[in-house]
Amino acid sequence: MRVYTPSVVVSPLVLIRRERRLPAPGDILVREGDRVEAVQIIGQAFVPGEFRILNLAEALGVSRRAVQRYLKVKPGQEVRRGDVLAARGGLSPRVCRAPMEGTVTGIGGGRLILEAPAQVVEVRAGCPGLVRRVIPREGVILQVSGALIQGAWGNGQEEFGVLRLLTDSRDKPLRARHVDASCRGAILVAGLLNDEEALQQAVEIQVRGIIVGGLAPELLDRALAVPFPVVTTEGIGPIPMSEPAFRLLSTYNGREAALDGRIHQGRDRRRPEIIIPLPAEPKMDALQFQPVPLRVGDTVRIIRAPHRGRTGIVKEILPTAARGATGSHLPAAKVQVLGEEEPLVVPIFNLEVLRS
Amino acid sequence: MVQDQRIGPILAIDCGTALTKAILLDQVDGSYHFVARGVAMTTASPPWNDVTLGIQHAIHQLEDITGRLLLDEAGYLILPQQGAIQGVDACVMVSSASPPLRAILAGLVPELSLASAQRAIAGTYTVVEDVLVQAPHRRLSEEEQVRRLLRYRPDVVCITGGADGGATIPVLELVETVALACSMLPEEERPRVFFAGNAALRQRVVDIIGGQAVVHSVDNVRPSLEVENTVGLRQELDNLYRERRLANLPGGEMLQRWLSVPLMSTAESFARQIQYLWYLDESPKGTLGIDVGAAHTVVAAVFGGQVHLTVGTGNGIIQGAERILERNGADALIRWVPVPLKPEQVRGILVNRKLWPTSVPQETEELWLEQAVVREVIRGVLGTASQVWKVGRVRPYPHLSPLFDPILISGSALAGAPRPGQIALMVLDAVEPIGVTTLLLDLHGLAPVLGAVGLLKPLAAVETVDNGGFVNLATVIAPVGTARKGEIVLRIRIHYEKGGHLEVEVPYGSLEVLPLPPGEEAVLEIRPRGRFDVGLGGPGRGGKRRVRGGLVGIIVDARGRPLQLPSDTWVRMAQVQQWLWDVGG
Repeated sequence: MRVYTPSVVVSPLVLIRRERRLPAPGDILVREGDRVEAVQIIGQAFVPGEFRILNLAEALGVSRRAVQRYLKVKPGQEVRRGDVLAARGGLSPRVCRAPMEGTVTGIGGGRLILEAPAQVVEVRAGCPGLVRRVIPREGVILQVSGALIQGAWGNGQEEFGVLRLLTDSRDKPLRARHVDASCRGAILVAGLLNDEEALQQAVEIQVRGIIVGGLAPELLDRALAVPFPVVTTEGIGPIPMSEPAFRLLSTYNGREAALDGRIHQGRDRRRPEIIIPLPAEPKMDALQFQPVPLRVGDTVRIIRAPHRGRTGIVKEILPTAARGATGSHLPAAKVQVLGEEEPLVVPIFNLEVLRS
Repeated sequence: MVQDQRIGPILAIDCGTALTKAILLDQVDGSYHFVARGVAMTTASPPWNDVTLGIQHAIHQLEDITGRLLLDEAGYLILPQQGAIQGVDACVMVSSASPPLRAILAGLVPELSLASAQRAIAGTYTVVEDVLVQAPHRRLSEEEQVRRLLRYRPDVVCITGGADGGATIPVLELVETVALACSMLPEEERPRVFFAGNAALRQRVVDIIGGQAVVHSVDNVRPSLEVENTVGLRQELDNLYRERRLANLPGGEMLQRWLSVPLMSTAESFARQIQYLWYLDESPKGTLGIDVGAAHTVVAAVFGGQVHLTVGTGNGIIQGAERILERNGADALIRWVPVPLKPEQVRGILVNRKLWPTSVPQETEELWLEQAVVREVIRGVLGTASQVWKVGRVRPYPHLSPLFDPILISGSALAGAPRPGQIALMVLDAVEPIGVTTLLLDLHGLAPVLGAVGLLKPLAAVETVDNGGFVNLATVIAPVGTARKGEIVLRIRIHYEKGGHLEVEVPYGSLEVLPLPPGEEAVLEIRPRGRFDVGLGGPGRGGKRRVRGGLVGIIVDARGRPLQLPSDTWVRMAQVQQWLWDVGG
């Protein structure tokens, strides 16, 4: 029976295309075919600024309809802080002044809308690459050649920096003593993260990011609050980094990498990822990893306890459902994991195919 | 549209947030049966952005199971059937994979019109992002109201307030605020505005907002203090969901050509099926259907033929778990788990679960936790649902569940539990039914699609149910009353149709399972003690009931209503474990 499983890319060299979108419509500052650096600004968006709604009728003590007579400004007019917007003379004169610099964008119903100048938000490339396509006013599609490691969880931030491997094995945790002054500005790589002191030390030293296999659940809130990206390749818990991911990150120790810890679930599901740009031409395009049914010989990663994070080779897809420790009967496969004498029987729903 | 009388095999597709199911129904000896089901991961999200792929995967499985070729070489559904083993004659599809509508509610009195609007929204795939209240001492400044409307950029703003012919000025102030916010948004991002307030203001509302956004006036949700009318607003929201979400299902364009009836929301189809179940025997009690999905939980209750639909948007086992943690803390889940768990462990397990929504627990503590989530999401959605039920005498005890028979249980999280006893216990803990109730299990995930099948060919839906589409899980007897723990509150005599009988005395506080395997029938003679009520005519009254066997048998739930869990952690864990053992979980 054909069974399709999720897949995850851990590839030493692949063609990667990523969309960089502006947060609001704006100007794109690069052209198709341009080569860009990670820190290069590819576009700027104009995010609406602060606004005020001023109740002129109330301020002047007149009816809504009467406000029109006392206006000193017109829609579209720019004003400075303190400028008179409306004034009424007579026995009890009243004046309504602009509380801030801005543009009068609307007048009606006795009220006036004053909007501050739009804020300019600059968007950087985030990763060196080629501008493959420009989406006018919205963003660009960047093309990068390099290694790609898709992760499991991220804290929503992104950075670019030099990879710095701090543990010599995939199951060793990051310790505070590992994080010294030489780590400043680097993306730290370690087996796992379960030491709050190490996280604090990373904040103080001002690292650019942390990549680990698993993150202790008690550190979740802390990891969400740090000012740099944290990405786990395997998930939450005391899970060592998978062998293929650790090997790749070890190989490219000292190279620059883009670390993207943004993550969405549901309809907009996307994985956090690590891109290591390389000066080589890949044969494989990441987009070509189309879903195919699970096959004997596939390299897979186990995604649920008790073997979460372990990788192995599919030896057999069982013809009938297998009974698990919980008593459930589910389609399963035999997976030969490094270090285990016998293949593990794992529900197919708990396997993820590693694409490289 | 395919001619009804010529329809043979039917493919029914259920495209959920996490999983897509392809179900084959076909005639065997002239009557429709469930044949087989294929399941695959839904592919609505990146990198695929096309639900067709997941549907094709599920159909591939179906082909492997049945040996019937359903897709041609290009991946298109073979329609109509060719020969005996190729293609199908019709295809229907339901979906809950689209994101819900995002709404902002605006109104005057939280306990009146806003509460009514909330109840209207509860029956739709809509998330309320914020509520703007225009009541004295509770109102935000206009600036802050506009700021919120701009921040959330909702799909829809529902304005309520004022009984018909009642308040005008505060309602119009709200309308002006909404108009102002709309004017500050780019045209393509302006929300649809539904006005469901004082009917006398409709024209003025159109005059104020009409130039800034599309405004629809619907029946006032609270035309007077005593009267509530949620139908109009609910219908408009349903229409908008169809227009903006279902019609834009990624990859859905190709599927439209396969479908014999228009794509339907899963909740709507499920509600139709539960209504049909009620009509099967026109139960004097209510009929309840619960479908627990990854993102949403749907509850459909039918009383006197009238269906009440509640969509627990974002209250499925994946997204709902996060909400429970935020709102009620980990203890709300830990209380149902028979092993010690720390809050941070719970959070870790649930975060991982969300990362891989189609994965299944392999360790018992993770299984117990998932089942705890199921209990809590059902309890939460039932809490919302029960506010809109118009039940009359079917609810003899206002603080307890109405009388239901049957209760249909659907959704992978429930139906996929390893043991039937676990499924039954989850339902007992979450619903706390009273009286005598049959629990039906939708083992194959048919209920969410049969409503749509019924639109195409009613007989196919009817026959599929009649031919064992749903499985009898258990008959539950749950007496209402109080006594000392261990005191006998019920005597039951089971007269087995195959011969023989069994007599049991049930002590208060216990959970007992009595044997009655599937396919067998028996007559129950129930005699409650004292003022205990088993729903057979009032407190202290007993009677006879013919019942059918089920996967669990007959469960006597004498734990009391409402269910109380011991406060001491270790006692509670031992108790929860005991209940699991009692039902064979």
